[in-house]
Amino acid sequence: MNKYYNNGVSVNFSHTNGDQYAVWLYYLSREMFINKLPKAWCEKVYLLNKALHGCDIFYEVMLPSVFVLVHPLGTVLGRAKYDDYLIVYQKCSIGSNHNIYPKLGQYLTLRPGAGIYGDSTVENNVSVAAESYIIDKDIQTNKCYIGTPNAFVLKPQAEVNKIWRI
Amino acid sequence: MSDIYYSPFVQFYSRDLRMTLVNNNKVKIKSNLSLPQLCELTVNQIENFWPDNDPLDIDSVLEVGIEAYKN
Repeated sequence: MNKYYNNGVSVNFSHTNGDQYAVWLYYLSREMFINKLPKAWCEKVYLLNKALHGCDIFYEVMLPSVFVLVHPLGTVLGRAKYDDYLIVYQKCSIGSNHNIYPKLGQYLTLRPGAGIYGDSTVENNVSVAAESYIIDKDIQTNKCYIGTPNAFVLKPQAEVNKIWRI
Repeated sequence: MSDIYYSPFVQFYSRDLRMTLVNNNKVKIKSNLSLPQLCELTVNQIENFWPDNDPLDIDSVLEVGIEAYKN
């Protein structure tokens, strides 16, 4: 149980919790876009999120149903194909290389400074370690990726992040 | 705690909500702002940041805000 979201009695939402408010602004801008409200309005909500929380999550990006942002300062989430149980920390990037975007599986965790770019397919239950990044590379299931494209190791990762355990 | 919403909005945050997700039920979420207050807060913040000639219409924002909260 996360004390910021659950006081032991009930689940809470607070506009003064930056992580929660960032998610709210993303959802709001996304719904405004889907409902064809003026583009300038969508952009203002998106920009407010950027101004308040330092994260860049454009309203055209379709994040999965289940995800969590953890103090996402400096995080940029691009037009990848996302799946549920995504965890993103600060200074993370997901984006294109030669206009090709990654395909991401369930239970992906991006540690601070992690990035995934280009023609990369990441299978289920993968962690990308702090300051590590992947470009145009496939990562198989149950792995922790540490390093850069020229120097990396893949460690086995048996279990999903404990935050998702019920 | 002025309002209780039935929404999976923060489904990922807690054991209760994750249980709810698995069980495909709806849950109660407590917020210190009502949804109209939350929308109004956001619209006011935007007006402070960008006081231009194209202000957001609070009713339109509230309408989609409800969907955002549900989803």
